[in-house]
Amino acid sequence: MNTLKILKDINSLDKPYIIYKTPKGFDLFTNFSKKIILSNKNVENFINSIPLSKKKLKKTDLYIGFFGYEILNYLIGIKFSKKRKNHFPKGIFYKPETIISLNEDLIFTPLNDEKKKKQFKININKKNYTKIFNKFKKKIKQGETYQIKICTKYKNKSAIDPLDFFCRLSTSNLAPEAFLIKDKNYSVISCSPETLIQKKGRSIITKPIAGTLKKNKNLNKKKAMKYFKNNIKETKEHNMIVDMERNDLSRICVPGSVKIEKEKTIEEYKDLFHYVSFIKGKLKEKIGTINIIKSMMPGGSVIGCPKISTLNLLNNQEKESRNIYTGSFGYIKFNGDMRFNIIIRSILNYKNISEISVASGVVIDSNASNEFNENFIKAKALIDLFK
Amino acid sequence: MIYVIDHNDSFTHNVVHQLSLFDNVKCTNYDDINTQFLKNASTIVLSPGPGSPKNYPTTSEIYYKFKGKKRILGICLGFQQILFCEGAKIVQQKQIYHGFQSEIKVVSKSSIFKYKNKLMVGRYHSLKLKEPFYSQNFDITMRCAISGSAMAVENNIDKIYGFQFHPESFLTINGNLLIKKILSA
Repeated sequence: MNTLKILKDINSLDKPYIIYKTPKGFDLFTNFSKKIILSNKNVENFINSIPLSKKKLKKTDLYIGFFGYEILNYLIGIKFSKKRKNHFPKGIFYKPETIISLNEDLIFTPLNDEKKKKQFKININKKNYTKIFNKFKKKIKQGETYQIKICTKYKNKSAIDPLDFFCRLSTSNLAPEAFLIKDKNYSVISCSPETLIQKKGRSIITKPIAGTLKKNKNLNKKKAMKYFKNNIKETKEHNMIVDMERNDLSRICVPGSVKIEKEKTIEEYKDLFHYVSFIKGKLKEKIGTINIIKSMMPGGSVIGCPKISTLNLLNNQEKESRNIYTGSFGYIKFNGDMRFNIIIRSILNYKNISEISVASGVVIDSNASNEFNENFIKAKALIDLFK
Repeated sequence: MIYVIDHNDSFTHNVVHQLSLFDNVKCTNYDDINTQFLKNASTIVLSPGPGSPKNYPTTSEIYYKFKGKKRILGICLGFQQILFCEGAKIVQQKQIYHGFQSEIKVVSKSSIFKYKNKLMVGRYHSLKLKEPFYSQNFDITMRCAISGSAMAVENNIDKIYGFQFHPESFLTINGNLLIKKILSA
């Protein structure tokens, strides 16, 4: 069957489904026999209930879904000082009964093109952003954090066709961790580039990204590398994340096994270059899925460093729930193997409200105006889909 | 056995892994100090961490209690904690080093490290030792090659050592050797 027909069929059925990028194309997961909505109460039980079978698995022997930011904080014992508005589920996992491989060219023409050009509203204006920025900079001077990511959120009211959005996004911005979730009352569209966990047997890999450069005609991979190498601020931010990810892996890996496989390489995407490192380790023998999740999530590169004190600073500051943003999407197989990303560059559409969250880092030598604008650039690729 | 007190840092487990190359290591959080581990350890390690030494009174108590009785190693915040307990002032520095690789020098002839040796190390600190600093038997043995800020302290009588930089960072060249030398001192 060709991809176009499969997509048309699935979209007309009004059935929940998920699409997730694979190295060669995409996988489509559907016919869900179970849907588990996570709460603080059931999350540990859910994770611990996933079988660790040694028998040969069927392709569909897995749960696929996401952990939201708030539940990941809960799992590592971080509390929120204020009661946040939080209507959206903290995490949802599905058990698929069907998986179909799709090729890389996703083409889909929506039947009724009802994009509504509703303006996006930002939750923190430049003035308030600068205030928060200066407050955090003071915290850096006092040594309470070394790097912290301020999150801003854009929202509008809109009914969207998520498959149409996802196909257009994948055409313009094919990302290695892209995914789409379509369910009855919500959808998530993401072109995340960042792999947080790739676990197979006892081998575990993480691929932190710190450093983004927008492409232009004069830039190639070599020049991008030169830019990052000569940019002390980018280099320091990246170093910090590498040491932090080494640390998170060291919690669960055999001493001496945590290695930087590739240090500071450039990955090229349609519109940008990323500064990426690969870090791997060999898991200790008695490490369970729950230990891996608690050690690695929420992914450090989108929080800042050190993780605990920085999360506490963020959570005292932020009034709104981050929901899916900086949570993790992926799957856990029934033998404990897993793949998870960090949810960034995403649109959450829930009850016809779309939200796009973005964040950029405050380090000692960053500038409020630059970072505020960088946030907007990151959001723009997604906002443009509404045109 | 080495006991590492974790001041809620995101680098502590790099320290634990590095130390594990040489000895059996236990590590618990600052909020969860294990008295049995303290008692059994031959070396107590004060981890890096956010904030300043005055935020960690329990660590100061442990330092006073075991000074001279067990080997003590402090890294970054742990280095500052040792100096703070020895009466030093820890102050904000003008230039802040987070994720910075820099060159430092061994500046003392009495150091267990080779005099005038140069090292490339990873640094993550907002605060520094205010000088002049004096405490009996304590010697500042390494300094930043550019700013001259204190980078290591040694007390070879009581076997107390501290690094302002991070020997466990991937930015530090031959960090394992530094640790090995301290553990065999």
